[in-house]
Amino acid sequence: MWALDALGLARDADERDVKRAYAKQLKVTRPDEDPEGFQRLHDAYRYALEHVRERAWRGDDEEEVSTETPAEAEELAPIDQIASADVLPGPEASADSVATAIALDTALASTDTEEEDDALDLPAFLDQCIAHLSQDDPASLRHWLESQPALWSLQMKPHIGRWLLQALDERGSPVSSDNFEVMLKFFDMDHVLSGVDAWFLQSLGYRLRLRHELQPGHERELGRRIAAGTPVHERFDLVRRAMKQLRRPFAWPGALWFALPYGRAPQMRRLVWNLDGGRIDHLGDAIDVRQAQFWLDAGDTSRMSTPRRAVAAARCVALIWVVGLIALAVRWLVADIAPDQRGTEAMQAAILLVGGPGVAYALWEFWIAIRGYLHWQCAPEGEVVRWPLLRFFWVPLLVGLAVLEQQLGYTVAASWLGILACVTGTLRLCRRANITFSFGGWRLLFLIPFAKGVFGLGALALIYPYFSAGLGATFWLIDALRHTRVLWEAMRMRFRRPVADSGT
Amino acid sequence: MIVGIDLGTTHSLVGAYGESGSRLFRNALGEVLTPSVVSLDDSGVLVGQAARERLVSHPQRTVSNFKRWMGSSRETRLGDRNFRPEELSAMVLRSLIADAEAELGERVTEAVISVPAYFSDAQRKATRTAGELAGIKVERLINEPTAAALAYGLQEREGEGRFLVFDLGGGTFDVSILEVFEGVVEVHASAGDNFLGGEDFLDVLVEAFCADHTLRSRELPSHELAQVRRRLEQVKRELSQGAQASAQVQLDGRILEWTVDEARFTKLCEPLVQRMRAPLERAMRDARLQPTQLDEVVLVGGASRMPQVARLVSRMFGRLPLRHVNPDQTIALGAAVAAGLKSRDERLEEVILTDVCPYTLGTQVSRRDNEGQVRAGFFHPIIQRNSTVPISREDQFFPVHETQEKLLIDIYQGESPMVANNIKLGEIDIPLQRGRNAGENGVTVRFTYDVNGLLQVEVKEHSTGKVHELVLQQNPGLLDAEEVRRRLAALAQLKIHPRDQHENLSVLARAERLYEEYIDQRAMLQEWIGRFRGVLESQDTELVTDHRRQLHDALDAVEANA
Repeated sequence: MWALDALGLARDADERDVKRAYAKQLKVTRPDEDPEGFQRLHDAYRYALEHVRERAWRGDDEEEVSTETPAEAEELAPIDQIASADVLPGPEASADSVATAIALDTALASTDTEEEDDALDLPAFLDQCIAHLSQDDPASLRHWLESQPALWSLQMKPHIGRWLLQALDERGSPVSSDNFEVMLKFFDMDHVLSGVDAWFLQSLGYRLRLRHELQPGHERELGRRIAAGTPVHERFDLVRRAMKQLRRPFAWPGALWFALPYGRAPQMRRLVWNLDGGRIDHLGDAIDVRQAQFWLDAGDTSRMSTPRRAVAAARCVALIWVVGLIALAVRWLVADIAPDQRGTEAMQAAILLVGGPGVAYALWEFWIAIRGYLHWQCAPEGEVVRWPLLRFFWVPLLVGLAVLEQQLGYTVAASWLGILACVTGTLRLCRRANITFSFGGWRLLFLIPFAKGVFGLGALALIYPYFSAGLGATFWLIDALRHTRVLWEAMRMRFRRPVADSGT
Repeated sequence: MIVGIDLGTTHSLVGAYGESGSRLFRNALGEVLTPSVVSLDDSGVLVGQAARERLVSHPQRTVSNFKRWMGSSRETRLGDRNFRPEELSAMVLRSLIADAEAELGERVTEAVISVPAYFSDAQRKATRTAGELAGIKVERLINEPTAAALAYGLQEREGEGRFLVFDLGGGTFDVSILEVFEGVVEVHASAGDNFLGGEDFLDVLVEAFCADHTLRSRELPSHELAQVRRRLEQVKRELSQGAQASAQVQLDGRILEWTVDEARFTKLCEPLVQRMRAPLERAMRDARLQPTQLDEVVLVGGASRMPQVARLVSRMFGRLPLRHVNPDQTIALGAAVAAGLKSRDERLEEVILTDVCPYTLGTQVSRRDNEGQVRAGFFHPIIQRNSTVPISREDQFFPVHETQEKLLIDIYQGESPMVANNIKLGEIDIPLQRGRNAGENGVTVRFTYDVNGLLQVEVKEHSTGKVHELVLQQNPGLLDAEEVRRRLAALAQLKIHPRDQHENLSVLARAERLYEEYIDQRAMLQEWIGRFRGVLESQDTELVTDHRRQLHDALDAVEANA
């Protein structure tokens, strides 16, 4: 063994020999005079000591009979093994080790001056701990922990700490972050050499805190985290209302009714998202998962989904009915309607109330479609969009079609295509080049002389498709020229990728 | 001649190793304990008992308990000057050195100063700076628990033993676990609390007193508060011996009586006693020992005289502690032994001390979880706490992202798994070359921590072999060499009362304090003070000595009758 050799010892050296050899050499290689030599010596000493001790322990183990006296039982030091492990003792890591630990505690307890129970009922004690962790405020919790006789034992305390962590991990009991810190500090687990993984502790603490905040009555703490952007005086009501809704089992009528006010759906989405970064599946026992999923979808303005459509439809219905009913009420109360007109009036009212929402909804869908089209065309080059090649050549395509239609004689189609090309081209250039036209306040006055001109131009565009198509093509070209470098890089990347991988 | 100094929060001592072993030097008043108090009067600086008296009579120009501020840049205003904690400590050191020189008859050029084992890098450097400002070399700092072991001569025991040193001083609490064998004293683990000491137990009593008399300690004028503290300090000491103690305080013309019994004091101190559990448990865990494997528990420090301490020790370790060496003097006696060791005194040839690094040193890393998310701010230890020093350890680090332009190695000291809760000591920026992937851009970081507590960081790039070095000399809040020179010059201009004046000044200061405290005796005290001042001016040493003795007795009578 290299360490024994370094100390100049024989194979069968025992602990005392190791210490004596170390002491002798230490007088020559002093720490303050020869730091490197001392380090080598000290490393050798530590390895030799461990080697000798382990050999002695193994030797003892084989020779010993089953019953161990307390003095020898200490040599086992199960604490050593667990203290140096990086993972928690799993359930399989024994009732045995706990039993040994408890037996040792009994042996030590006999030297204590206090009266203690013979054996600690571990599961009951853990239940008690968890109950206090969930319910107490931090100061009472600390006080309770400090006064527990079972936790005075230097040997048992770390074990109990580990078992407690494991129980918390399994049960997911609600624990506030302050209480969690008190517990970690008390069991000496909040430092980097504790043997417990820091990441594990962080996620566990986070999980337990979430459970704690989701309990009814803790909306203030929850609000502080998930509604951080809202002013303080509105936060509590907002979160309380939201949580009440989230706890209700999901039903379409109830959800749609809740979604009617403007901005409610994105707000609810934000709150649900902030609960746990968008993950909701594991929150099933605190909130209704379907309900939460509904709000995540309904508030998501980046894509279309059934909840979103449903919410829009409900709003259309509500809007038309409210406005319509008021208008009709006013009309019927104020105007004089002849009895024979009542039939048609009623029919018209019915059409309004039934068809109106339909029309409104159709307009909304149309508006979404337009926005989607514009986003498709005008998104910056870096964003990923569908059909990139088609997108790039869309405006020239329209221009070409317009010219074709004009040639073929379909002037109406041509002029509309031309206008579409012009508008798309302009908006594409302006948005991607961040050009904005702001005509605030008094600057509007300057437009007045040009108003006639603008209308004239508009008419021209309508009548002469070439004019509008040409304009559109020009703007498209300018935009393409501005992006040449980016487009060139993108092209190169597409054709380069298969080659690049072979290098590494 | 090398002396050993215990620079304590409330008291300081100086000693050396001689023919009959360690001895302590007495100050001008004949005491071995010199209060760590500094006061400014019209003609100069006062240190010691005289200054302590002036805590009551001139609280604006007197300061105590500045050991807690070492390592920070907190300045105290005395008179028209600002003093840093290093300068205050330097003045105490000068006074102690003068006492030692008076008794030894030769110059003292070097000292070994004791520091709490839990003192950070910055605090240790501040102690060295204080020595520099006092005009002595301080090459070695000894940890206080190790000094305690030396004082108990544990190194001279036959065979081997494991000892726990429990040091509860005026302001700090230190726990150390030592193993002694064959002339080697090895420290296995050390832990403590830098803000827990006898003064905190006194605070508890002061708060209880104020609560009982519906006063607010913060609103009391400083001389009244000082008076209350003096009285209650006596109460605290009496409680260590008896079951009950009472005090009478004269405040604002009223006389307030207060009695407290042992049971109530124990209950009031319960939170402080609980705070002592954590370092004890941590030290035992780090040393991997069970209570039955300890041979002795040694109590050090004046505050360890309290019965609560003995009770805690016996509850946790199942034995009664050793305290036959005067707990106030233990550390200084041990520091004297250490001074002897350093000067290679022949009588002490055979003892080698090894020490441990009391805190973990490491750097900041980011970790990637199984979902690929990267989180930063984790503390990765390189040198674990309670590793024997000197020690050198290295570890390898790689950049997180391929496109990183530089690698930041920052150096943290502390125990928390997140760097945000640890102390940052410094940083090194390593520029990385683009074009290389993350695997090639790694570095090897080596931390070397030496016996004197200096940390050296060496970063070697794998790809280029270039080495970046950082020696942690500078700490914010500490003085650099230029500053030290300037302050040394400034201190030299401060007049320090010569040693032979100390007795006179002390008795005068005491009379002034009593003047503050005993309002009904003021007329008489004023007369005595005036008369003594007149006698001092006559410069007739015999007359002065005579008069001083008389005044001393008279003041004793005043205090005895109160």
